[in-house]
Amino acid sequence: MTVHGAPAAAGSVELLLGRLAPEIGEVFASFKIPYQDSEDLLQEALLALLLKRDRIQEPASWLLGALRTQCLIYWRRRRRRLYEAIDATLLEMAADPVPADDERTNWRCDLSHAISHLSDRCKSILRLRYGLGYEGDEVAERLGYRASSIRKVTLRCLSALTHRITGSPPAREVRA
Amino acid sequence: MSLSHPSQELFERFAGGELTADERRLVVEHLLAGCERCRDLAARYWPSSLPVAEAAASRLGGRIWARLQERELRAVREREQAEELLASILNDSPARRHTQVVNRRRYHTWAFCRCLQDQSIVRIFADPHDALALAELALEVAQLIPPADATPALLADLKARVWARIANARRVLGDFPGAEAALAEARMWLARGTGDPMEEADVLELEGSLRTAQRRFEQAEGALRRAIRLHSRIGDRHAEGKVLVVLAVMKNTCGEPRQSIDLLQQALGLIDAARDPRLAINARHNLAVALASVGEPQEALQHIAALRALYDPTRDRVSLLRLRHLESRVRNAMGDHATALEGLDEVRRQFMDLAMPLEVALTALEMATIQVELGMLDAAQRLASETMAISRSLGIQREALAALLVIEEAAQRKALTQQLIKEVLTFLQQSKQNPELKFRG
Repeated sequence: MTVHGAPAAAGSVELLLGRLAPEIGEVFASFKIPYQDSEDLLQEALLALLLKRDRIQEPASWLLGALRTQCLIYWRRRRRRLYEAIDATLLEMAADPVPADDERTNWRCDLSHAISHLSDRCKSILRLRYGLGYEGDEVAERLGYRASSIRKVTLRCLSALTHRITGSPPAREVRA
Repeated sequence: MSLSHPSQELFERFAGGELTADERRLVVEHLLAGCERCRDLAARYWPSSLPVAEAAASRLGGRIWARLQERELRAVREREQAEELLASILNDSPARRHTQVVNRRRYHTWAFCRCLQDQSIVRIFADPHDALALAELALEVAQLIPPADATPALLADLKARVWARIANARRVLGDFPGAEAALAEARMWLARGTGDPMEEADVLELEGSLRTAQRRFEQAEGALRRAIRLHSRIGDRHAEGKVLVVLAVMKNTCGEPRQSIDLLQQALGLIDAARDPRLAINARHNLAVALASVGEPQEALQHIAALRALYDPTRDRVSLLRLRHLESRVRNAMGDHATALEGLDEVRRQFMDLAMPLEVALTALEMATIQVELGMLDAAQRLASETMAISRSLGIQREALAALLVIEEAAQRKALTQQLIKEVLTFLQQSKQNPELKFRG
């Protein structure tokens, strides 16, 4: 037996979609989701609605809420890919044993300059990370963080560094 | 800095981790140097600059719907079949169920997995071992659902929910380390899921119950209040009421019955009795318990009378016994000791018929408290001896038997006091939640 009510009839989700088209558009607009990516987000939210339909009491508000969550996650994941790509590349560059020449030391100066504008905490973490090649647990031990929390703190510092070097505003979730 | 700027396509591939080391270096050097063209490319990773989908939502929906239509029909069909599939295996042994389910494709559906989870909840008090077996089977099914039927994030949601059910069953069985491990799995899968607040609320509710059983009340309250906020955000008032009931029970357990009453009254205003009649009954029953605790006997009796009409005499025998038990306590508090003793004795005998030794012992001790208060020491001694014999024959756990032995010996020495009975009562009540508890008499 289902604990929460009867399953919906076929076709009811299609009707809901038609009714909610304007609000769905508003969600995408408020989160500034690029057109080419909006289809995937809406499809994921609709599939979730189909599968979880028997538990959902207010399908309209659930769908719009799910879509907002998808949009938040979309930007979060997109930015995180960029932070991680920059971080991985900086770690490679920092580990490069090739003797420094003028061109090669420029990036170190640029990085140092960017880091100098961050908070004291991020300066410490990133200088250990890129300057001395410390891994996460070593940074945690050196700076007195718990091993379980250093990853989150490091990610925030990577975010701050990325914002600094890309000239973008600080990450703040866009809320509809 | 090299003069060759990365293209947009190259930048996208950079963020996707698809470039060679030299290509990656080019991009990062440009960014570090403050290259404006590269900064423009990076700006696409923030929600400010790209054409958005507003005007196209209706066309978007139509196109997606064409793809999902068949999936919807299949989802409806699978939900209809899931109940029949469950009925076909429910009376089998866990081993046979496992063989049937794992080897037959028709069981590998989202709907059937959900059915198993729901059945695990239904069975949790009647047969917690079977509830655990059903939840573990649901986990196997979740792992067998074809990847094309749901996205990885949706399957992660499903697994989080299943692990929460496993944690719940282990909690009821008194396996707290096992419950913690299962809760950790649930949280891990939740982190990989869709971010659906309904799923997080579900895991938090079960965490709240576990923390209550562990007597970590502050953590329990934190988890349950967060679950309530999430349900409120989703707009599911009934689910909000359901968690309020769990919170109220926790408050009563930690000795705050007045807060429990407030919470239950809020919950009754939110619960949809048509959607879940048992939840509404459960809330009223807990309200009667709390009212009795704070010395509101008349109001408690009114709720008890109303509840008696709502319970099914066949299906709810244990609940009706608990109601009679509560009523006897209330009558005792009102000074009607004779009626209270009569009621408690009736409850005690019915728990004996049901072979529930801990409940027999608890009821007998409550009777003994009243008898000692009234100076009926011989009756209390006889009851203590009888209870030891019955508890032993019904196979009560060892620590509880040790506690009852202390009572029997004190009764024989005519040294039985209300204080001693209260200590043993408290121990037996706590051992219901934690069978590993040791008696220190």
